[in-house]
Amino acid sequence: MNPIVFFKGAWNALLKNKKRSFLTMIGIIIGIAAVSTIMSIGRGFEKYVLESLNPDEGELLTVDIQFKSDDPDWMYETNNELFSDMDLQTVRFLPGVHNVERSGINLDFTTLETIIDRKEKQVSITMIEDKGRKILVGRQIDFMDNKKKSRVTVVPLTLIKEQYSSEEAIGKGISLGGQLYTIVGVYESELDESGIFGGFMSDEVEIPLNSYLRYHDQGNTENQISITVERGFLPSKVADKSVLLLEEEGSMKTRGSYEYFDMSALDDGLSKVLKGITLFIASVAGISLFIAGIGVMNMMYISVSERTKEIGIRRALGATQKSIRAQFVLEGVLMTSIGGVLGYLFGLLFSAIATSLLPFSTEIDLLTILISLGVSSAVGLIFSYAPANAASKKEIIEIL
Amino acid sequence: MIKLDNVGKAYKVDNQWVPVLKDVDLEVKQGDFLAIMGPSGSGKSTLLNLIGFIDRNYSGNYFLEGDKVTLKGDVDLSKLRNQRVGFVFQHFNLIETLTIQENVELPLLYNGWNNRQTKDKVTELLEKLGIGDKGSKYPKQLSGGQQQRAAIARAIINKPDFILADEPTGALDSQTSADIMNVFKRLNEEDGVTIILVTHDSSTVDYCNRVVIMQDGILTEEAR
Repeated sequence: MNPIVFFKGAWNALLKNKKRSFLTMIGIIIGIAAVSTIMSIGRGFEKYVLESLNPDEGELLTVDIQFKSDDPDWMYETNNELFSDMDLQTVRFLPGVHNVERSGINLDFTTLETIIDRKEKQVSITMIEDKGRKILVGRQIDFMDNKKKSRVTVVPLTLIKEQYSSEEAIGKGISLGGQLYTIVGVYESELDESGIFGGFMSDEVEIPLNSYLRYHDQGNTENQISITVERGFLPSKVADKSVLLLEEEGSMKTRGSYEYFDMSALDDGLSKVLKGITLFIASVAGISLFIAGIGVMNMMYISVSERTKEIGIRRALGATQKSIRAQFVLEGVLMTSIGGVLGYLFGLLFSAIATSLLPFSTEIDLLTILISLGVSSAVGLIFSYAPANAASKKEIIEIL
Repeated sequence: MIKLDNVGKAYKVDNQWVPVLKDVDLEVKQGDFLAIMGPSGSGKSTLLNLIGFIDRNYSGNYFLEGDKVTLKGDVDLSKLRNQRVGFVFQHFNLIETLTIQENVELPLLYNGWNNRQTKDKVTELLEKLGIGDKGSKYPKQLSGGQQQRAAIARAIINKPDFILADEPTGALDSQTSADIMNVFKRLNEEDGVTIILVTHDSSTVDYCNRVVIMQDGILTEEAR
């Protein structure tokens, strides 16, 4: 039988039972409206995150990619470039990359090893170029120390109080990263060691910047690159792609791995709440679609038993079992698809209302339309198959 | 054209097999106008359904132009029903929700035509049968005789080899019955359509050129 003829037949059959078809459709309409509402809100939110991370004006965002060697000693000793010019070129041509440049070791957060009371301990180092912080006893580190690259240090009282009093400590030596430094000053740390984090907080030790560079930073290798991201791209996505590319083609891919710090992860709180809501509405939509499907099934069974005689006549006139089945399935699918279209339109309306209360807006997008239509026709197909099959299996001789 | 060879059929009632057809042998030739007569319950309609490829559960062999029908599957049987046979029923069996036009075009649609192609052909045939103005009406809006004419139109639209009519005049008054029988007669004589008629109205037998009698599942030919 010609497909258009089939389609026309199914359409006419639905029109013959307008009221019943419409009532059965309501469940589908509600379900699809819920699905398309959450989908458009979800996509609106994604776009909003993108825009707030990467606004139309102001500075472009940057994201840093670090190289971490599997063997830290090798990384300290090597003079090889960790990011070659080739690497920079490859990353430069990724979509969303505005610019790439090397950036050095992050001098703001460095730790060195020390030995206090015969116990090894990591202390965080603050580099002083000009003038150090206020102290309790002794003197501050000044620019002369920096210029002369002298191995002097200002330590917090908490670090040494078990060995010396603050006055005793002045002039004593302390090992920092294998080098002997002279304590010239002691400051009172503001951190209360009895606090929850007190015991874990590493103590902050001040040394002149040039001393650090002279004695500790041997390779002076640049272990990170900074990517400037173009507008309209999510930094995390660009960084993801760059890392993947570098791990495939980077010059140091055999020596270690590439990593980045994701800033947009900071927005997790908001997106987690939205994900929760999405999951909730999705399950409501799922249940209502399931119940709507049962409704479709019910209606199709009634329709089949009402039209038993018609089925017999059609079979006598040459309809195969397959074409009887197709006729009823098509009726079910056509009905739920119409429900899907109406549901999508309602979804547009609901999301427009919802977004008038939210800080972002939604748009018509193809994926939501496709999913609305796909899900609704799938419901029709699944739930009208059994009744249609029952219709096709009827014995003609018992009908006529 | 049609050859039934030793065909039998039985129903199971209360764990007992009740025979309806007993060793039926029948041969129908092209151009025959055959009447099957007999009391109700004698197995006439069962035989007719069997000839019309509706019933598949029987013993014995059924040959259509030398081709064995007995072993065919649903798709083949549906095709035979569509192209080789036209049915006319006592209670017309038009689909109530479709117009006369839509009812009559159904066999064409199942034969792969589309709606545009069928229109002229259906209109022409309805005119020939004297109900040319009823195409857009629904079956309930027509008289019994008009409905039966529509049913006949539906039966012959695919130019079948034979028509099976199960008491086609059973629900009609005598005047209309005569009209309908004349339609059959004309089809048989002018177009050479083979007709097999089930009836227990002896007045309709006059239109036929062969008569067989069915009695308790046994078929006997009446000599003329």
